[in-house]
Amino acid sequence: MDESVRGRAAAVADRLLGKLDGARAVVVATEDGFELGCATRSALESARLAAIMSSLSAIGEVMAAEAGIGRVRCLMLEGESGYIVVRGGGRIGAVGVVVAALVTREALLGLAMHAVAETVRELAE
Amino acid sequence: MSIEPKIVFTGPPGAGKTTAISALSDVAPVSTDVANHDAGLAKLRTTVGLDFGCVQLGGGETVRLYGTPGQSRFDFMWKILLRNAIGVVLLADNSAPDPLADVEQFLVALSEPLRGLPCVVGIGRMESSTSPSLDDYAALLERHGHVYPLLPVDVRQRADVSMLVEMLLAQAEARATLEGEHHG
Repeated sequence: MDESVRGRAAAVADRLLGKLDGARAVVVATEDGFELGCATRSALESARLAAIMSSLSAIGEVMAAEAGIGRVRCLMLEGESGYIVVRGGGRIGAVGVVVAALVTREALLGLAMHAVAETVRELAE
Repeated sequence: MSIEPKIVFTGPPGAGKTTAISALSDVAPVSTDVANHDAGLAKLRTTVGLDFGCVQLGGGETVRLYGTPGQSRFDFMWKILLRNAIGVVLLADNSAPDPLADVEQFLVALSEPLRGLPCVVGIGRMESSTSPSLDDYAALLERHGHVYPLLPVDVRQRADVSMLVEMLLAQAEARATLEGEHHG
């Protein structure tokens, strides 16, 4: 993988973690499950998360297509102690990417979804 | 409510899991293939979630077909997809650099779910890559305590994939009969 792609992904992850209140971690992965960048405030198996993110994103796409709801904008998981917002469709150069933000329950979910969406849009520019 | 049996196709990347399910499924298969960014893998697209299809067999029974991703970074999907499966089709590509090691990786990673589960092994591209032989695969399986049917397959051919599924169902049926006799 091109180092400039990894550098861009790491910078994006850092920036999103910094601007998102209640964020625990941000992971940027390729669409086929390789970790490109990660910014975190706590220990995290980011390589495994990257693989899981790509599976989730792909399964979400086929479920949305099957249900006829159009392209997936984001997937959201609500856990007992936090949320995970996953959004695919990003691109760094020729590489399709998926972004995930892990936030605490105190975070405003709508803001987290908006910030992740904005990040994915920035990546595409 | 009767639940249609579930069969899982697994094996290393490039073994033909997605192709096998496409060849056999009566319905348009669900596929989660995306662009492959692994330079070590000579293919344009790769499965990251699952494949899914259905086939109705001669007796009118419908079987659900699931395919796993091949790369070990997706091993969490292997275990999820194997839940409640009645059997496993393990596919290998004999033209890969070390197909025996590829198969062994799955035998080790899936040792727990494979225990007591019917399994057949289909080896692709044997006509162009004659080594290792079926005997080599049988010896590998034996080292791991398994005696599974082994056969060369072309996963693009519906008849070949159908044969794998039928062998698997025959094993499952034989086990169910034995268990019935044991408990009866």
